[in-house]
Amino acid sequence: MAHPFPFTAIVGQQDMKLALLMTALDPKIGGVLVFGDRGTGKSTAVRGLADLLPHIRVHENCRYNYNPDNVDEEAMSAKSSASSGVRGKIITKPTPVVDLPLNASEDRVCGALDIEKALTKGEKAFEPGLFAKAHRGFLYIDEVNLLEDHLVDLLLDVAASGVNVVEREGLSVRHPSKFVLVGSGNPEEGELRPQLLDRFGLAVDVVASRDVKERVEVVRRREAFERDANAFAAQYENDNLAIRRKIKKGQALIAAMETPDAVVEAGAILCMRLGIDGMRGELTLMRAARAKAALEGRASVERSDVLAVAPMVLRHRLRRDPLDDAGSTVRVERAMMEVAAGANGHAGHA
Amino acid sequence: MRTDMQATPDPRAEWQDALLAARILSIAGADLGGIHLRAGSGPVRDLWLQCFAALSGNNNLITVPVSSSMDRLCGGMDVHATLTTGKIEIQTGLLAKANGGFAIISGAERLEASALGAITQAMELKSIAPVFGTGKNLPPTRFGLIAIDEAAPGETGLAPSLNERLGLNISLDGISWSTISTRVASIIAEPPRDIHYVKISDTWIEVAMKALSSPSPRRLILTLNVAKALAALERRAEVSLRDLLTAVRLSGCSTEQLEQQEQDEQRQADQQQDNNNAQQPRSNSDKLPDDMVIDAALADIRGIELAIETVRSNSRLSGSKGTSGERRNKARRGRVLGLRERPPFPDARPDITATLRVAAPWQLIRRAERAAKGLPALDRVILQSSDFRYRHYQDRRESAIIFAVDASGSTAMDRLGEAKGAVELLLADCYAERHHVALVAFRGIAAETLLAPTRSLVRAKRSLQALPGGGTTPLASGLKRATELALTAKGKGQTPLLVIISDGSGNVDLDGNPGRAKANDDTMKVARLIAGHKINSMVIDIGRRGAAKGQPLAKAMDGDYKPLPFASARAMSSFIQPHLAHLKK
Repeated sequence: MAHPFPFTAIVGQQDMKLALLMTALDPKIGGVLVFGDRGTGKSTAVRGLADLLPHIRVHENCRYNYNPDNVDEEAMSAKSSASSGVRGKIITKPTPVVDLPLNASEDRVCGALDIEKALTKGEKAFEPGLFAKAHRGFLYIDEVNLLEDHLVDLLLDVAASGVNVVEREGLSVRHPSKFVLVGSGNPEEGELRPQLLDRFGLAVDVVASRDVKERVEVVRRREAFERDANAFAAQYENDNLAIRRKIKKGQALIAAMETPDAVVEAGAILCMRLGIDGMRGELTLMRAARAKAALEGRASVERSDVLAVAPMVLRHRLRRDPLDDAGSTVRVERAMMEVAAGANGHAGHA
Repeated sequence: MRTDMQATPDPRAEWQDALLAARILSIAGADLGGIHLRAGSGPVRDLWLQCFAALSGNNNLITVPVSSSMDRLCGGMDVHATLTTGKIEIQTGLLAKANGGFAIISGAERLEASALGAITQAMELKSIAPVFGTGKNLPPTRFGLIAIDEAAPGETGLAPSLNERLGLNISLDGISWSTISTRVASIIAEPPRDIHYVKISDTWIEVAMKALSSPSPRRLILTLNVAKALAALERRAEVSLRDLLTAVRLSGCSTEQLEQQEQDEQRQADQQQDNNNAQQPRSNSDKLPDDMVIDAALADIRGIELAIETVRSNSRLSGSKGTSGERRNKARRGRVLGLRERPPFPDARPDITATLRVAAPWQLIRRAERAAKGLPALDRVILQSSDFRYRHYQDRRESAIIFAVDASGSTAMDRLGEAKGAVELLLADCYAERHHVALVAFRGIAAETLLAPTRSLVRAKRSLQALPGGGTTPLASGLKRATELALTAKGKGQTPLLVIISDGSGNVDLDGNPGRAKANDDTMKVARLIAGHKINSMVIDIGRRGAAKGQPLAKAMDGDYKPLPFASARAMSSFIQPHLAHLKK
């Protein structure tokens, strides 16, 4: 496979790009669900994301992407290397973006007995699967709404606990598997299981652009890419680098960022107005707002950040009426307007 | 429909189109995605494939059986080589074998979701990961796909996710053997241009955008690539309007939106015309004004589209054939449940990878055992009967509920709103149970499938809301369309339930002619067909006077009957509820 289509060369689709960059900056936001029209560059954006992500530090021969800077993982790494040989020196490598194909077998996803070793050496060794490969990176599922139920079950377990547990064929393996789940799909082909929907921190809708100029630009860039992928990618390398720097800088900013009470309050009111139960919505809202501020190079988060990210954070968390199609976005927007108006009145009062 | 008959195009022209599609596919292959070929098996299709093979120089045409397992499709363990060498040997999958050439799938509309996923991913990424093992160098899969869609009328065709990725869309169904010329298109003497270096102007891109009904950028790009391939074929450096028109025709776009666009376009053109009249056109000698061109282009495309549509509907035979799926034992396919030691059915084949995985840890011990018994050493894997593992499948228990709603004048006035309300309530139930839902509406002279079976409730609701009422009652056509959908669902292993919401008095027969007697005859005929196929059914009579006209219909269908002279939507829903519960069992 040659170069993927550069992320920065994607025309329009601001929401989708923002959501992906925010999770790149702060993986704890918890994944992105991209739903919408076919052929709008959903999977192109995710595949192009790999070029923007900061590199991670790992042991050279580590197959689990253990983090050498994390005490627990370092200990696990040391333990596993005791049996499997040398783990090598510490190197940096690109953040993994792993594709989970719809056709993947359970063995391939979770990992299984290494047959080759078992057959040739009679050794009982574990061959890590996609969950191990995706640790500290992104796990991408295209057409996530078509994923077979038995794979969804596996995914739910791991995404919730961050640990992959394999108990089969006499193997007993546990390894950390924390990843940003990114799913894309077309809602017309089927609904997503509610449990899986819950796992996504952000949900964005993409619609094919109706703007003639924009669409011509899409065609032109694609043409250039198909003609010479490498030359095209080179054109956008600087833009990609700039974004990578932004993400790195943002990560430093976010660590020191304070969240003013007024901002937290705005988020709480918003969630209350929309009847969103539990803390997850509010927490994600705060994280996302901070990530957005950091991405823009600001050292402080404001209420406008909360309002800007609210639709993508809250849209899929509303208690859903399955027949209410356009309703959720409208409801979020109405609540946002109320909060904005209420806040102004408040300020005027003071 | 009757009036459209005159628009039937020359089947010879259609055949020429099909050959043209074959030619450009043979030169541009993967850049066009491939071709969605609607054709039942027969000599016309065979001839087309022969022509295509000749055009592409018999170069790497891989036949992919629709039922291919994942290992065959994507590549997996080569059992023979693995057993003889004792090392994992990966076998190239069919999709990787098609690299640089073409993959042919007949009956592509029957592809299972997982196979579809693998194929679309291979087309997208131009490489594919084998099912087994995690190779670093993924085999490339750059191929043109020939997806032969054999769906009978009324059956669900090729999956949209695949159709979307195919730049060409050709139907051979309207072409009879006698009309096609035996002269096969000559093989290109000159090598064509590289399509990537064919230029296209912004104006043409805009024309294509307007002509295509789908907003998808991918569709647009594929269609433009078709146009470029047409130019490349004649070694021209730039796409002409004729190329573009042909490309839109070959990519098969729907007429619906075009009509709308044409009207808009007309309005704009009129305005522009006025402006142009006021101003003196600058140079009209070498180039037509853009707006006029757009207008002409749209008119042309629309005529062709209408024609294709007519041919398609006229060439379809009534009734539908049983599908192979129905006869198959259900436990042989569907969702994989897991691995067991016993075969799920007598001639089940073991899952080799799983079997080897079980056998692997014992190899050293078994070798030692053989040696202890004084048997000669074997240099292959030693398997015992207890090692074998079989894949078990879960019987698919999905059900499909097909609503046939009478939207004729007799019900429209006072009951259509109620019927809509009831269906909406039922849709909510179907959502909870994850049933598939389909909607058929009948009014005027024909029935219309508003929605092919889907689990997307949003779409179901939208199409229901948009349903207009009024006109005569083609009950027989409504029943027939619903039956066709039910049989398709059955073919896919789903359990269908027909819900007919009508006053039971049709007055238009299957051919669309008015006449109560013939209409009634036809209705009963279809009803008996439903009984014959043992399809679960029910009639909800929304007749005005409680005349119970739906009763004989329900009887002929061997279905349930419920008169609802003054019922509310909720009452209707509660009537169907037990049937939904029954379906689950």
